[in-house]
Amino acid sequence: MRQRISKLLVYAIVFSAIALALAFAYLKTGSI
Amino acid sequence: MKTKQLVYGIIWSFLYIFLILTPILILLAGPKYSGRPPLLDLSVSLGFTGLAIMALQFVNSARLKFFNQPFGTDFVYHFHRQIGIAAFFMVAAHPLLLFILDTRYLRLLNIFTAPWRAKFGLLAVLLLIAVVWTAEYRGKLKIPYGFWKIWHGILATLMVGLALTHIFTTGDYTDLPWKRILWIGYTILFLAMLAYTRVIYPLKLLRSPYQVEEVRKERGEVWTAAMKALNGKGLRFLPGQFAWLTAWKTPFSDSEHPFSIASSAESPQRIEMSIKSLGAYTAKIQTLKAGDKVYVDGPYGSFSSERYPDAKNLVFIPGGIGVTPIMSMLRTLAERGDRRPIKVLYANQTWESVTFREELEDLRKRLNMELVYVIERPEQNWKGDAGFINTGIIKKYIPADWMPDKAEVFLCGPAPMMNAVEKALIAAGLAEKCIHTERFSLA
Repeated sequence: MRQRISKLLVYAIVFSAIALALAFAYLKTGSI
Repeated sequence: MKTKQLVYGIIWSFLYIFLILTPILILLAGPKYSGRPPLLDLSVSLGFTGLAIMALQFVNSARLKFFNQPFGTDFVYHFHRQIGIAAFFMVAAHPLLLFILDTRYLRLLNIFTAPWRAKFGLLAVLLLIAVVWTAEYRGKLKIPYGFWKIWHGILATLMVGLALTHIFTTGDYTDLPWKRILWIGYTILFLAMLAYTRVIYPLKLLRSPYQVEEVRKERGEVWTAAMKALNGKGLRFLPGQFAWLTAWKTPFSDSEHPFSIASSAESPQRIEMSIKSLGAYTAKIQTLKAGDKVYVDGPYGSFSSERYPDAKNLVFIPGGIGVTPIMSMLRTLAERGDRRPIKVLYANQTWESVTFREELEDLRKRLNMELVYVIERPEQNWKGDAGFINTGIIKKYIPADWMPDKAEVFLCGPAPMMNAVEKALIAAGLAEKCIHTERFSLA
């Protein structure tokens, strides 16, 4: 169970980072 | 105690996520740049996040007690590994996206002609590949644990140092003061962690040495080293916790190995570690002599019956040398005169190799304990349970009215055994929250 929590935390970080990176890339350059 | 730990766990998790995402959040809050390709921004954001994770890996592995306690050290190490792999892919995406954006970036791969900023970046990526590859495949590559541990630290330090230099020398995304402050902050945190783990903490350990009192042989190629604290304070630990042992060298050598404390928590002055001869280092333990100076860094880990004082019933399931933390719990419970019902299901390959067999018989009398041996390869006249611990054996010995949550179960052994027993316990009706495990394979 603890291993699953660790994995969930990793996924949460990775997906938030990718979402924020995409947001930065597409919102800050005026491309869309 | 549990609620406090949970609150701290949640606080640390959010703080950690926040620190990792700060570089992108700061970029998001910054001014809008027109004309910059989105792919370039995406590439840089992923690189930044990857590096933030890598810099914080030094916090993860620094064994800060306040940070480790809510999660348990094995959790922190698993997380360290998994998030390290995730960071590897993020960092790798940084140059790959640049190459997709414009093939001219490929010229930066030529280490002889590339500008210094690109050289730093390229070297950092190469070091990262080496760090992750050797960590992931250490077993297959047959790299001894002690040697790997030292080089893992050195390569990771060089890698983060080079990556930070790459950011400062490139400068495109550190144009504003607060962006520079952020990366300077990360650099300071990284250097502070290095100073703490490599100088301050080893110095502290050097001042509190232990002395070997005796080394004795146990069943199953196991050697017990008994050590006495020379500073008089000893080691206050929870039964089931572990400590890092440095023998033959000083704490600065980074040659420590983790072992469970097998002795009773009621005797913090004299601790015992029972170590199975599995590799070059563990085989050497038997050569320790009375009077030798060693260093003990601990306690660590959250695998302890002590954390569940309200448990009505206790179940211990050790496999092979996984019995050591459980011995500490049983010895402590016996010394305290605990009368709660206890079941011990002890898995071993052969009857002859059952470590602490004789002492367990004695503990059976002193505790309200039922002791069951499950032998994988029994002799012909064996009358007990044979094979592996499965749902049938669990249902046979753990009373139905202890299910689903009237018992706390402590499981420690080889990884395949633990995976199988964890599934069998759940299949037998036990609630997942009642299963406590300790997973280590650092021999």
